[in-house]
Amino acid sequence: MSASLEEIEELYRRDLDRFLRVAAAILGDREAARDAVHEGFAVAVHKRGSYYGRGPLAGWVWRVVVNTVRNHKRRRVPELLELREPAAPSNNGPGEGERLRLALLALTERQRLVVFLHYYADLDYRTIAMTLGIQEGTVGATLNAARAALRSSLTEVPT
Amino acid sequence: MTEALDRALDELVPPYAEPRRWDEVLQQASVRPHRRRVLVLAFAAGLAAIVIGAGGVFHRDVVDFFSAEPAPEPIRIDFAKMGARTNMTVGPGHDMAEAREVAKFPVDGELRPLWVAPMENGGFCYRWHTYGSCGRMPHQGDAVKLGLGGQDGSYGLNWLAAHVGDPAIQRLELEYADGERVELPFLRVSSPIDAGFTAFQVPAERQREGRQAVAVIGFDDEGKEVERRVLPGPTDPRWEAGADGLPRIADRSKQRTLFDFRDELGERWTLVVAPAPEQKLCYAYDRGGGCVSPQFPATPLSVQGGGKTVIVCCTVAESVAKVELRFQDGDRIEVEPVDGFLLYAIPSEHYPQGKRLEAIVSRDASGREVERVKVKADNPGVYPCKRSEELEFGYGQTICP
Repeated sequence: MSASLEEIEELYRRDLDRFLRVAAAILGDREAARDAVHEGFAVAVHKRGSYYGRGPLAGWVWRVVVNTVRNHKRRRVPELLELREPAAPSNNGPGEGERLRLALLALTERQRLVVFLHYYADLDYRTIAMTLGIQEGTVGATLNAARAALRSSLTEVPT
Repeated sequence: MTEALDRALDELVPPYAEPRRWDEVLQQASVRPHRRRVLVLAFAAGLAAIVIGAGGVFHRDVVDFFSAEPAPEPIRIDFAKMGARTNMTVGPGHDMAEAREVAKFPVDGELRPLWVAPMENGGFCYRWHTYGSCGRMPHQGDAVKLGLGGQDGSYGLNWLAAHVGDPAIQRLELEYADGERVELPFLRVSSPIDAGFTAFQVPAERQREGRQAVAVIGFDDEGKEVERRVLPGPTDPRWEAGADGLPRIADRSKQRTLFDFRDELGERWTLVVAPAPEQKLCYAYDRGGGCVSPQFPATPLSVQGGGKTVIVCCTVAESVAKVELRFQDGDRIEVEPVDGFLLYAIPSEHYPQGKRLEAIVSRDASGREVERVKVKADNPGVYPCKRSEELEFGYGQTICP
């Protein structure tokens, strides 16, 4: 069993914006995300014969695209999550967005990816597990730990 | 708190509302879109090449190939894959390192590069937008005088791309149904390409009945018409492929399955045929399909790889009773077409270099050789390989040797 071109196209047309959002979060660059996601889908099309039907096709495509995006990230100079200009300094310390950005940087890569795939792609645990090549149970534990760290960053306002 | 986290994540990476560019994905993956017809209208040269003197007056630009910008690596990879796919019909592969951008032509509001790469033993391949093709040079006997490709628009062609192998053609015009003509942008590329190129998007107001593009006309340097290529009429949607791969208009009540087998990996392969109007017999198999008719006779069998299994497909002449596959290691396998069709999975023992298919010999019932097609066995990307054997092209792209 291999993935059909039509199935991959359907996924692309339906979920491109979610793929782009995850890629932008990983790369920290909305324009680079477009290139990386399109390359990821091109790789999926090219390698569709290597999908054997183990798990949902969406999980396989997500895995291919996320791996391509991560490869892009390794080749890029810009750092993670430089999506926005740093918030203007204020007497109250960094803003909420800046605190979240710093908190995300403090997470492990796996935690960040689980957060991105959960929040920006709204993937279920099974698909996230397939995308990252980890156990389904690990997804929940990783997400809980990441959430706790991120929530903490949003409540602890430095003085 | 969850709401605050959701809001902060939303603000960090705002949602996209991106236009879908599936054709570009396919282009990057070197797969031709299947839902919109892409026409390949190349035909063999019928006239002898006319040598142009150095003092001739040329109504076009000449691009020095070696001064042109080298193509980026992904494009060179595309050329390699294109070479792999066309190994049966084009012959030699490409010198990927020499792929270059020779011009830019507009389509859909963007300037799209025209990339050209010379082939190892003469000829060239080129890519523009979603179209790619290969040609031979004028001094090669089978050079194409004017090779045209295009894509359907709302009525008639939306865009066309062409290569000109005939050195006599110095200028091109596009003729519309109402008789009006416009000059097409045209450039020639110097040796080792030695060919002319054009690419043109037909204006939207020219994609209407009675106003659509109907012909491409080539002129020599004295303004004499030396070539006229009539463009096909607007596509009849009934001939577009249905979900099963056969044209919608095909008579499925008379559908027959000529091949149905599983390869060594257990993957099922089928080839079905069904009659269609105009005396056509249409076929569909796992990787595509087409139609044959008295006007469009069988094209030679081709080797199709790029996946886990390499197959030989699809049509043979009616007179062919046996097909002999000859391998580099001397092994020979005889297979039988069914009613003018063949679908065969090459055994994996013949995937390694030195054991691959190198020729296809077709014979009639009396054993007389009808056709012999030489197969280039070392084109990359055709045969599967172990991950450790993959060639690395950069950009995360690999290809089997």
